[in-house]
Amino acid sequence: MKVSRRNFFVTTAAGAAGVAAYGTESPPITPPEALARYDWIVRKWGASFTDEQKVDLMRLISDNERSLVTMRKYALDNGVMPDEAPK
Amino acid sequence: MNIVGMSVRELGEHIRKKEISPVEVTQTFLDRSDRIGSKLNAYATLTRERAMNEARAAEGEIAAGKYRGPLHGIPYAAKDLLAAKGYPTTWGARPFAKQMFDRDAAVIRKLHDAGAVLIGKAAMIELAGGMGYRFGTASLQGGAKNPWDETCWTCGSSSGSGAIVSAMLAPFAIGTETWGSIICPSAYCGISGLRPTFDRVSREGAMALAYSMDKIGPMARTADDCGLVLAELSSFKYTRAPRSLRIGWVTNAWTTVQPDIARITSDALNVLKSHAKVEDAALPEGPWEIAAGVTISVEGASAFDMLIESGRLNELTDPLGKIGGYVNATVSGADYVRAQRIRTIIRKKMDDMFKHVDVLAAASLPVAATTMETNLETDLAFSDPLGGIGNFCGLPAISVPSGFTSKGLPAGIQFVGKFGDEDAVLAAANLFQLSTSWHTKTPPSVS
Repeated sequence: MKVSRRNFFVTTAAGAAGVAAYGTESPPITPPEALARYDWIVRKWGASFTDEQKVDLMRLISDNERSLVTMRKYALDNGVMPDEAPK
Repeated sequence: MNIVGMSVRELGEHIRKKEISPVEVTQTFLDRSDRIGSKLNAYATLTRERAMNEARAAEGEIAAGKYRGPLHGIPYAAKDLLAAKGYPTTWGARPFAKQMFDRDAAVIRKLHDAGAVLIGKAAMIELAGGMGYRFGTASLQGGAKNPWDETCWTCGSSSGSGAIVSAMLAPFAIGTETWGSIICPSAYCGISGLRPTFDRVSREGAMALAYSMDKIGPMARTADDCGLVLAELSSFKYTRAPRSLRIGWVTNAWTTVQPDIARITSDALNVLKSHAKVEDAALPEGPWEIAAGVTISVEGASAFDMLIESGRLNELTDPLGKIGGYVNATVSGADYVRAQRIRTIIRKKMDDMFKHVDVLAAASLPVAATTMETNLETDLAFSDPLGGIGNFCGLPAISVPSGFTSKGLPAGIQFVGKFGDEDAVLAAANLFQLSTSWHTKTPPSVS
């Protein structure tokens, strides 16, 4: 696991390795949730995006989605309450 | 008398005894800030008129026998995400370049009440890095240059605050940290920087990035100075009295460490062992960093929702910052709440850990300052469990200088305490600085 501390996203090594050159097409390992998020962003704000930004965007979302999957796998009992601000 | 190299405590003592004039001190630091600060991209704005008014007021009060305390007449800089009436507060970002507020942030009011003199707004990474950034140049003011090597970056997001204290343009500065933004610049710049417990210092009038993780804290030459400043910013009662300490040496803070940093850190560990009880400590394993990252991303997307919605992220400087906010805005509510439930777990684990130790210690960073051109996404990507956990749980921490690499770049050691226990981290840092002299070193190019 490595962290790009400057974008606050956590990316797995597999995710980073998955950043092959892939134009505006999605890479084969992209989770469907990532594609949905990408499509939503591009539909809403994409008019001003360059092709390079679209590639970057897809990579960021894919890496982010893989991190979220890791977080979702962490076992939590139903009764664990959220701690929204340390006191 | 060489006032620019003095600590806050030393300078304050001379001012109290009327051996040095606050007006003279302020003029000296303003002139240095004007001359050297612009070269380093250290400032967003110099507040010269306000500074001279505050300095003259301090001088008059002290002459009349009304001495306010150790910060009376001491110049300082505040990160440009803190509102200061009458001056721009740009948040380091082009979309806010002309932003003005009609009142001071609570921190600036408190320092004013303590008699401190605001000489400028410190440059910073745009939006404190909340939309992501790939390069140290991600700032409306340009990349802050490291006084120890101007081809290197100061780290961020309190980039200007680090440069200002390191280059002795002010005796102290105010920075903020959501994750790493005080500890990293302090380590890169060879200064002392204190990240207080979450909510210790009022955030009123400060730009919000992550509502449950933002902290405001002092950066200065010494840990002692950080304690003095924190006592004025909050209800914290600072005492320099030594106390016995149990130090947990974190064995899994960094996966790999540069050889120079490993040598410096080993020497620092030996210093600690000669003065305190030190035992190995391992951080618990889990998705803490991911959960902390999700929290910052989502809260940042909310804090800047109008900017994101407007599509104006493209006006930011950094290529990552231009798109990162859109990604943040699409993280689900369920994932955010899950991150907060994970916070409950890690807070409990850390509470348990601090039953056995007073502070945790480790190298502040596994590397020394990197060049301005370094791609932070690819070349400075490493796991940071102590920073992630510490910030997620709101734990206080301090970074103090611990030595120099073979290239003459500073390194730091950090101490992290349990929630609310700044006293322990300051005691550990004071202990270290009483036994070493790294904090007295100054960059040759600005000395």
